[in-house]
Amino acid sequence: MKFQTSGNADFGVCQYVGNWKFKLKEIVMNTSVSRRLKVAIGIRIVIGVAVMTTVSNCIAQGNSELPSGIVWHGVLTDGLADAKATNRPIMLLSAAPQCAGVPGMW
Amino acid sequence: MDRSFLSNEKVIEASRNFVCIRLATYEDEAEAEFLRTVYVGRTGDLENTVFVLMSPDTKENLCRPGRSPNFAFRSPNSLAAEMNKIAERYEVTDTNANPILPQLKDVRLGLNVSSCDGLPSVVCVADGNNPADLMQNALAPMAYSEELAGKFVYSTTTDASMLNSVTNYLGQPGILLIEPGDYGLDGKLVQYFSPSTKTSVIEKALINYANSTGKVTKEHSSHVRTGAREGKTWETEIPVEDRNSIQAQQRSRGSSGRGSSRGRRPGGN
Repeated sequence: MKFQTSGNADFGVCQYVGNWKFKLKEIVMNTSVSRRLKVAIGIRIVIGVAVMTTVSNCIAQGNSELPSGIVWHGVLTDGLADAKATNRPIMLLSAAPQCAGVPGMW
Repeated sequence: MDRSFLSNEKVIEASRNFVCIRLATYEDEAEAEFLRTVYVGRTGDLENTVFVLMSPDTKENLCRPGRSPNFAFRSPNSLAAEMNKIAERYEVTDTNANPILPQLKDVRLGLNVSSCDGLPSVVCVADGNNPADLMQNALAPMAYSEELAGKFVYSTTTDASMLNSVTNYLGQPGILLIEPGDYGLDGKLVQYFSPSTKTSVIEKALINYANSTGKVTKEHSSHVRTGAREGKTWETEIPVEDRNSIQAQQRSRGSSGRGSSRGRRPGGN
């Protein structure tokens, strides 16, 4: 679908929005009742999913407690000394604390 | 790093019977040498990530070493089950006798790892009158306690100027609770404890903080893109060997108009 543009940069995005509304009205007028019903249900499902996603994101962001995690030794000699002293097996992991040279991300 | 395995509740629970060591790749030559004895890729280079389960004396690998847990395990549950089975083989001596503070090798790395994990940082600032081991010994039992395990990233420095980028910090010795910046290159002082602060007071403050703040999460690609654009760079202590990482770094620096990828040699600038 191609939208008309005015050729005037001052209209910018608003011009596209105006054309969208016009085209949408045109599509609705030329569509059968059952098709319109299906579209309406489809739109409601999409809106419902979007609302649920937003709500779950808000809940996740509102999590205000640090979760328990693995206690990591960050120095090899410390970890090996701990394993020797306590006779516990070792889980060894190595990762770079930079991604493409940018710190703050594994 | 494979978060789906390492943030799994069963794996975390199983990890309590293990000594868990997470090294920062390319940040220490001696550690890199050790990692090379554990796993290298087909090219013979030290890869970005390494994972293995080992016996306490490191003489025996207890699973197939690889780049991540999913080299040897199908799921977090299978890793947890295997860890529990392995732990039964070893008679553990008293873990509470002399706990070692689980910390990073320096405060620069400590702040960065803290930011990577999205967790707050606890830093011991020592000087001639306030030795590091006293502060570390005070913090160590807390670091393994049920209420605080895995919730903070620890490091130590005897050079307070290493923390010049931490806002509100005036350079005194003591224990600092720091909220790291987005890129782990700076931070904000949340709370300062003088060297004479009672351990119980510090513990209570850390528990309160852990119960009142969430883990910071970041979106990977936008973090890297924005960081590269804003010139937030990290120089590794030794050159990066992983070819994919080198290519990614070159692409990233190339697109932001920066120089080539290279590491920082120990003792160099």
